[in-house]
Amino acid sequence: MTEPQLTQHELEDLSAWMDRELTGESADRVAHKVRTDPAWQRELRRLESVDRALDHWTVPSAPDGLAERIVQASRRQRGPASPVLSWVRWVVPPAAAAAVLLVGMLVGPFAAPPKPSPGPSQVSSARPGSPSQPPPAAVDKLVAENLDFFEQYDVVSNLDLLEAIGRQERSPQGS
Amino acid sequence: MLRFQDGDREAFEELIRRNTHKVHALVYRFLGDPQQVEDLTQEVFLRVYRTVRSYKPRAKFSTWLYRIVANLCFNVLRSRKKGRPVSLETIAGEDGESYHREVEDEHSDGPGAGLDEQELQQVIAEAIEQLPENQRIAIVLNKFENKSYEEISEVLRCSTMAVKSLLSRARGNLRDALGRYIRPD
Repeated sequence: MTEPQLTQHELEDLSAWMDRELTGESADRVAHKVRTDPAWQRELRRLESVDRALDHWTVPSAPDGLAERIVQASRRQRGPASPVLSWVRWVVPPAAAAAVLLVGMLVGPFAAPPKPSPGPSQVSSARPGSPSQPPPAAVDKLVAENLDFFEQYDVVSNLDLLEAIGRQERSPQGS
Repeated sequence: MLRFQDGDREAFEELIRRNTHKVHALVYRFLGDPQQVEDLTQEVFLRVYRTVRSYKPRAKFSTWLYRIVANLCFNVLRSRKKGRPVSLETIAGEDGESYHREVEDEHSDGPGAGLDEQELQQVIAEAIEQLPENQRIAIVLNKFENKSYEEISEVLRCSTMAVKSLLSRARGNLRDALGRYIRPD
């Protein structure tokens, strides 16, 4: 016949009770179990024997002179790290990157003068992927300004023409 | 510690002399390997030296020191584990941690069955070494440093409920590992 086992939760309570870490009702409940329940008594005896066995585990004392060797090693150290300096070390690189990005965003729009809006005849040269490809925002603006043209422009029937323009743009004398 | 924070070097050297034995014993129990204990004991104090300015007086110095010891030992234990083959008798616990379970020998004569003191120490050291790192650190702090669950939770940066669970599992694993060598009264 197998002995009744305590659940994990009950074992945790028993272990904490042994360490005098339970208080109030919880402590009273475990104390009652330990007085009256053979399974709890058996488990308590086992755990107490483990604790007693651990008392046999002694460790050698630190070798003579270890403290002095550590003192000497500490004297060879540079001064303690300042928390402010270590904070600066972590913050400076991201801050520099953010500053460069910010300057780029502020200066970017003024770096090149805005081009006049191209007419419908220039639209084909604004194809994405062409060497003279304008930034996406400019393409959107171009499309918005020439909406009537684009609504009626039949790309499929003009495919040959568009490809020819593309080939011309890619050739060395393309422009 | 506060004097050292204010730049008093002698205070730090006094702190080393006072705590070397305690840290040495703690590292020894955490690692169980005499080879690395001296180096790691030294490293603990050098770490204290380098990070002294991050110490906040609201934390007990001993808790802060134990946390440094535990962190360094965790690193060593983890790097050791990576290079160590897993024993066939190592099984997974409910919490995903693995531990070594001794196969109980019902025909054994029980405790200390023929073991002298040195052998018993060896058996205990091996049983402790088989515990998952956080269980090992929790049981060492509880049993040998008499730390409360609250203080252990600060060292391990977990809740007191987690400490309660860790210690219970550690005791259960030790009971299984040492069952054939120790006899309940």
